Parts: sequence; structure tokens; C-alpha cells
Amino acid sequence: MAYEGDKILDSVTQKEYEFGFTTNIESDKAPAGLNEDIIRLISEKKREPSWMLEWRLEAFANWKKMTEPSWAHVHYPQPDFQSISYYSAPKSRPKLNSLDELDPEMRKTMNKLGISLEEQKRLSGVAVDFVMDSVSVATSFKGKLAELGIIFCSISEAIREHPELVRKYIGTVVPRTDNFYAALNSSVFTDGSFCYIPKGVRCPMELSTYFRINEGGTGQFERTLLIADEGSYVSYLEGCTAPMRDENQLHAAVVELIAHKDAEIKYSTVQNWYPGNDEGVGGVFNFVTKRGLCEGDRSKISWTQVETGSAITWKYPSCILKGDSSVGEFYSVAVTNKFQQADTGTKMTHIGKNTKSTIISKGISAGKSQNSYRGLVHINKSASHARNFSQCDSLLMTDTCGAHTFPYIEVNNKTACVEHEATTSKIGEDQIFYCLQRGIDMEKAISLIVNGYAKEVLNKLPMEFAVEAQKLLAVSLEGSVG
Amino acid sequence: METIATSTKEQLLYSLETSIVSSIDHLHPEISASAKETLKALEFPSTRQEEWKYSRTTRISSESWEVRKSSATYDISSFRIKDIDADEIVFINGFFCPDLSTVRNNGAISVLPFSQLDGQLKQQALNNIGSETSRHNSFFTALNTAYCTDGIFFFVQKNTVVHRPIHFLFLQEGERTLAMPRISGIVGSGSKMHIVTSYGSLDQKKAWNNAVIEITIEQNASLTFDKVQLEGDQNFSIINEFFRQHKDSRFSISTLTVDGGWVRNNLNIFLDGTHCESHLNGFYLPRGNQHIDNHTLVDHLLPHCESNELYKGVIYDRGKAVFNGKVFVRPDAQKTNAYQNNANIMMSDDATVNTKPELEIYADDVKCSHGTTTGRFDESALFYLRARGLGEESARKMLSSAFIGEVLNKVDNQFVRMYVQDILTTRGLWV
Repeated sequence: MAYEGDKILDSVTQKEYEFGFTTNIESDKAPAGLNEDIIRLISEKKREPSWMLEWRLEAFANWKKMTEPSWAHVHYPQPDFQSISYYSAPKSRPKLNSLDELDPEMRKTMNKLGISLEEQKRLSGVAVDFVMDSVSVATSFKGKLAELGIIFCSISEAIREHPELVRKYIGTVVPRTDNFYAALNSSVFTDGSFCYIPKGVRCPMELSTYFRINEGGTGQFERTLLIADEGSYVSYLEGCTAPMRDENQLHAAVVELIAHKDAEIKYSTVQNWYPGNDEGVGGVFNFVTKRGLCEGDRSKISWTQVETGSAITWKYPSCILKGDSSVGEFYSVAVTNKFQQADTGTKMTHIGKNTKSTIISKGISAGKSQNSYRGLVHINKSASHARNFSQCDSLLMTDTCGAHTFPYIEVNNKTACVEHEATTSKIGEDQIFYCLQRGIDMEKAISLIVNGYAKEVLNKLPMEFAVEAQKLLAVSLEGSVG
Repeated sequence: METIATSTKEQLLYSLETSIVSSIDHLHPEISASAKETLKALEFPSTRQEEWKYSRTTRISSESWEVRKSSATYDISSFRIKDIDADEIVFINGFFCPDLSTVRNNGAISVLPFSQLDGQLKQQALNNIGSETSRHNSFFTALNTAYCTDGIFFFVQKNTVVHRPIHFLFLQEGERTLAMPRISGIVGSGSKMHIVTSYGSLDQKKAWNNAVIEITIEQNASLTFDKVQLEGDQNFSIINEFFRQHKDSRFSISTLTVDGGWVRNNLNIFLDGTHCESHLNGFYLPRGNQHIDNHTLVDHLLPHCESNELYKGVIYDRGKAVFNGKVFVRPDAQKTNAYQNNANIMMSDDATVNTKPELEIYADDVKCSHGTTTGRFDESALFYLRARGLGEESARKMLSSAFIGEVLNKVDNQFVRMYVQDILTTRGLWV
């Protein structure tokens, strides 16, 4: 069986990155380097108001004083922030009335990604805000959403069209001084999505955005701001694929969610950045700050993520449970293979009374990868009767990978009830044997076991995403037992 | 900020340099010299370092400390364990007190201060002191190596059952004294022994104890180790313990922290042989403004080993408990079985618990799990007892006794168990 396993492992690890292709579209690209002039250039290109430029420059001033964090359980060559180009946009920026006007090259890209817009429109009813190299090119279903008063557009557009909302909320959940990468993002972010759900509106469809790093050597600095006003509901999907590159590409996004009284936000991510080749060369550096604020009473924020890509992942979608009886949830499946390194988890900060949080994290490591869960549960003195349950399981596929758990639990209120449990084990040989005996081949058996293992999390994904996530798990792992 | 930290470190090192010669120098001056080099490079621990995130050392660094031999005579009978019939080795202010100690050397076991070692024993001690197990592990370990006040080395010949337990008493007296005692020992292959260490204050004055204990457990040997911490509110106590286990050995340690103003236990266990077994148990009961920090490391270096950890705490008043349990499974350590559990009960609104159970696993065929819970009393259990006529306070006491009783009952030696139970009872923590 070991022999069989090795063979399959080889075939899987040698599987090239499926979505690794480059689109030849001329880009309008800023010179490499980071300084005030570049920030002024970005702001000017985006036709931003002056307060936004000032905001960026303040963030930049903060960033210059900060040092890169080194506490994560990952090792990588430090990115040279002066060799990155901070702005690139497709040269002919199409103002589209219909999808037919789209650049044929870009259409091809979309089709390869399997997210052809008209089909999405027609079949699944998903509105897609497609981000190609930092600039939103097409936004669909806008009219339909506008009827309900929902604003769903690129952040640059929101800065121009809805400055009062952006100005009120941007940087309130992830301040510019929060961390090194958040400060960097705040000063140079080029695009991203903005979403506002008005009072009492239940968003009728899943909102989604596709990210894609395209131009070689261009860092992508996305900024997402999502506000759910009182009593509203929204489900937001985020998915990523990236073309194959040999140099490391930096991705430092910031996502801010704000849930007001009785509002609910469901944020799902399927992440599949390029993980690097078999020798661990190349691959995307993914340093993301994601945080949600449960501002109002009885609000709820739920993060669901399936992570299969990136050479380095550094990501902690968090919830600040400020409103009384607010709820935070975190469901995650993180798969690492080859030389991937992931340090991911969540932070649940309980401030309000009767707040509740649930953390379910499933790590799967294969190849020579390192997979760490790092989570913080903080119960403030004011958070009486707070409740947390955390479960972190790790599945090990080979004897060369690593699985690590670093939970931080800080309790300052005696009425709190905090539970944490973690297990680490190998994929069960008896389970594989059971499947093999019943004529299910090795690859399918492992796919079955892994999908069963991750089911708790996959179940939380919206239907459209669950299918994609299962496919991703299969691509990343099938048969990779050691 | 930075400059203040270095200057406190330099002040401390300067005052030690001028007042004490490390007792390890008698064996080989190189050892302390190299520790001094290490100290130069290390920062004085602060909350900026991950390892010290939850424990403020500024209260230590803001005082000036003095190494001072005690001249007064004290009654230490309350620190003796009744009926245990143990050999007692007493340290006061970090200095070995032969008058108060009973040391019985015979062919099977040798127990000697560093200053009296020679010949083969000296060589064995040299191999053990500051060996890879405890070398330069941290600032405070290096500090002890560089300026050790006094040390004892023990050696158990192979295939010996040591019937009498050895009881090490570390006591302190006098304002702002600093003690840096060290115990180094080897439990020979196939041998079995029981060690008790207890820590106390004779006059409840402000004192700092920075001890190092390094023990090698040879092949097929068995060591039971009980640690009773009774230092008062004023004490700072940093206990650095290192145990290296060889093939087929068995080790069990109980850390019973009854009292302590500011306690940091650094317990390190290295499973450096196949088929080793380790058991770590402990309880802590911070009251008033006490701060009790347990850092444990179980390092699985080789396959087929098992470790089992249970730490429980009841936190009263403004007490603060820190638990950081780390389990390492190295790439070679297949078939490892590691279990870790930490449970805390908070008795007051001002209590704080910071816990961090860590797993770092680099092998695949392992079973590792950990769990931690933090909460208040089970109200239904309380109701059950109250419905049967128990007063609230005694019901609570009964429940907390049962809670930490799980740990106390794992202490093998009944005299140690009784001794700790009696102390808990007089402090109103046990029924």
C-alpha cells in the first residue's frame, strides 16, 4: 500500500497548477517602488477626493515606522517592498453596457476560470464583481441590487460615489496602525469591493467577487468593505486563482465587515493562489487582515474559508463581538501540500454580554508543508456569560509535513465558559483499507475520507461554492497519503 | 524603554559579578564563563517576548537583589514532611546547610555538594551540569549557571532501588535576597527513586529564588518527583527544571503550587529514548494578587513514547493563572502518544486565566490531542449539595477540593499527599 501511495502522491504532487496561465493584456503599470509620489499617483489615477489621499499618506507614514512581523510559524525570503509595482490597470478601461463589449482576451480568461459572466447571471443568479489586476472591469446585477438600495461596487467607485459611507467606516475595524501589512494596504490599495446593505434588507443573491493576480511582479492590495445595516442579511463569496509565476507575488488584502443591530454577514472564501512549484519556488505570499465587527446587539458574522493555495499564508479572519448577544463563527479547512506554509486561524474578542463564538478548524498537511492553527479567544471583563467552543483538528498525510496548534485563551470574566480541543492524527489506515476492500480505489478513498473530515466546514459554504471547494480539495490532495 | 531594560540587566549582572563566584566554578570555570557570554547576548525577559507575554518581569527587575548567607537560626520543622522518613537536604537563601541536612551516602547513592566532588563523580557531574539538556536554555537558566549560589549533585548506581525519598527544601529569609540553588543528578539505569522538592519562605519577606534542577533518567530507570510550592505573597520564584529520559524510562512529576506571590515554573522534559513514559500533573491556586505561571515543554525526540499531562487551577480574588503547555513531536518520533489537558475554574470576577496549549508536530503516525476549559463553578452541582443542607461556602469548598483532588490523588506517596492536604485544610482550601 505504501508503494501505491507513493505513486499516487508523486502523480498528484507533480500535477501542474491547473489555472496557471497568463493573459496578454497590455497593462498601465506604475514604476516599481514605494514612496509618497506613488501613493499620489494611485490616488490621482483613481480620481480620489483629497481626504482619501491624506488618509493614505498617514497610513504610509505609520507603515514606515513599523517592522515586519516575525512571530508566525512560517519562513520565507522577505519581500522587497521597493521592487514591487503598486499600480497596474488594463490599459483600455472599458465602460461596459453589456458583456459583449468585453475584451475578447479577458473573456477567454473568465471562461478558463469557469466563471463566464452571462452563465453566472443566467444560471446561478450570482452577481459577480470581477477584479482583474486591481481594477474592476465588469459588475453585474447592479441594477437589480440597486432597486433594493444595495450598493455593490468597486471600492474606488464607492470612494467617488458614496464618500460619506466610505469615510465613516473605512479603517474603523482594521485601523491603519493595526499591523504592518494592514498599514501597507491602507496606503497603496488599488481596488476591492464595497458593499452596503440598507436597513431590513435581505440580499436576495450571493454576492461574489473573483480576484486574480495577473501582471508579473504586481502586488495586489485589495480592500473590501462590507456594511450590513440594522436587520439586514448578506452572504458574500470570495474566490481566488492566480497564474503560474516564478517570483513570489505579494498579496496583502484588508477585509472589513461591520454588522449593525440584528444584521448577519456570511463571508465565504475559497482561496487557490498559486502555491509554488514542486521545489517550493514561486508562489503567492498571502498576508491578509480580515476582521469583522459585530457592532450592534444580536448581530452575527460568520467566516467560512477553504484554503488550498499560496506559498505562504498568514491570515486570521477575526470577530469583535461588541454588541450584546452577538455571534461570531469561524469555519476553516486549510490544505497545504508541497512546500506550502500556512499560519492561519482566527481571533474572537468578546466584549458584549452573552456573546457566543464557535471555531471549527480543520487542517490537512501533505508533502513537505507546514500547517499551523493560531487562534485567540479573548473574553473581556465586561463580557459576562460569554461562550466559546473551539475545535482544531489536524490530519497528517506524510511523515515530512508538520501540523501545529497555537491557541491563545485569555479569560477575564468568571461567568465565561471557554472550551478548546485539538487533535492531530494520521489518516486512518483502517478507513483506507475499508474503502479499498470495497473496490473504491486509493484516490477516491482518500478524497472520500478527506471530504468527510472537512464536511463540517464544507456544509457551511453556499451551494455554488461547496462544489468548487470539493473539487479543489480533490486536486490538492487526492491520493497524497504517505 | 530599551535602554532601561539593558541597564537593569547590566546592574543585576554587575552586582552579581562583584558579589558571587559560581559554585560550578569548582568543577570547571569554563561552564559559568560560557553562561556569562550567553547572558551578554540575551535580553532580560519582558512581555515583548512570546515566552513571557503574560508574565511581567518588571517587578523583579525593578528591585535590587542581594546574595546573602543566612546567619539567623530558624525553626524549619513546619517544612518537614511528617513520617516520610526521607533524607533531607536544606538550602537557605540558596546555600546548602549541612547542619540541618541529613545526607546518607552509601555505595548505591552519592549525594554531595559541588564543592566536595572529585574523581569519577566530578566527571559525571561535569557531564550533567549545563549539558545539552539545560545549556543556555533561557536567561534565567544561564543566570543560575553563571552565578550559582550552591549546588548538590546526586548519583544513583545502576539497578538500585532507593527506598528513602530525598527531600530538597529550598527556604529563604531576609529582605530582597536572591537565591540560585542548583540540583544536578543522574538516576542510573534500572534504578528507582523518589524525590520531593519544597519551596518556602521563613519570614514572608520579599525574596527571589531562581533555581535550576537538571536530572538525567537513564535507561529503564524510574523517577517520581513531587514539587510543593509554599512561598508566600512576597516571593518571586522561577524554577527551571530539565529532565532527560533515556530508553524505557518512566518519569512522573506533580507540581503542587499551593502558594506563591509570583511563580514561573519552566518544566522541560526531553524524551530521548524509545518507549519512554512521562506523566505531568499539577495544580495551582492563585489567591489575592498572586500570579502563577506554568510553562511546560514535552519534547518527543524518538518513537514509541507516551506523555500525559493534566494541569488544573482554581483562581481566587485577583489571582492570575498562566498555562503554556507545549508538545513537540520531532520528525523521527513516530507512534507518539501525547495527551494534554488544562482545566480552570474562576472563583472571582477579577480573576484572569491565560492559557495556551501548543502542539508542534512533525511526524505523521501520531496521536496527539489537547483540551482546555475555563469556566465558573457548575451551578447544578452546587445546587445539589445545597439542597442536601450544605452551606454555600462548604459546598464550594467541597467541589473545589474534588476538582484539584484529581491531581492530588495522583501523588503516589501518601505522606506527601497528607502533608499537602493538611496545608490546604489550614488555609481553608480543602475539606
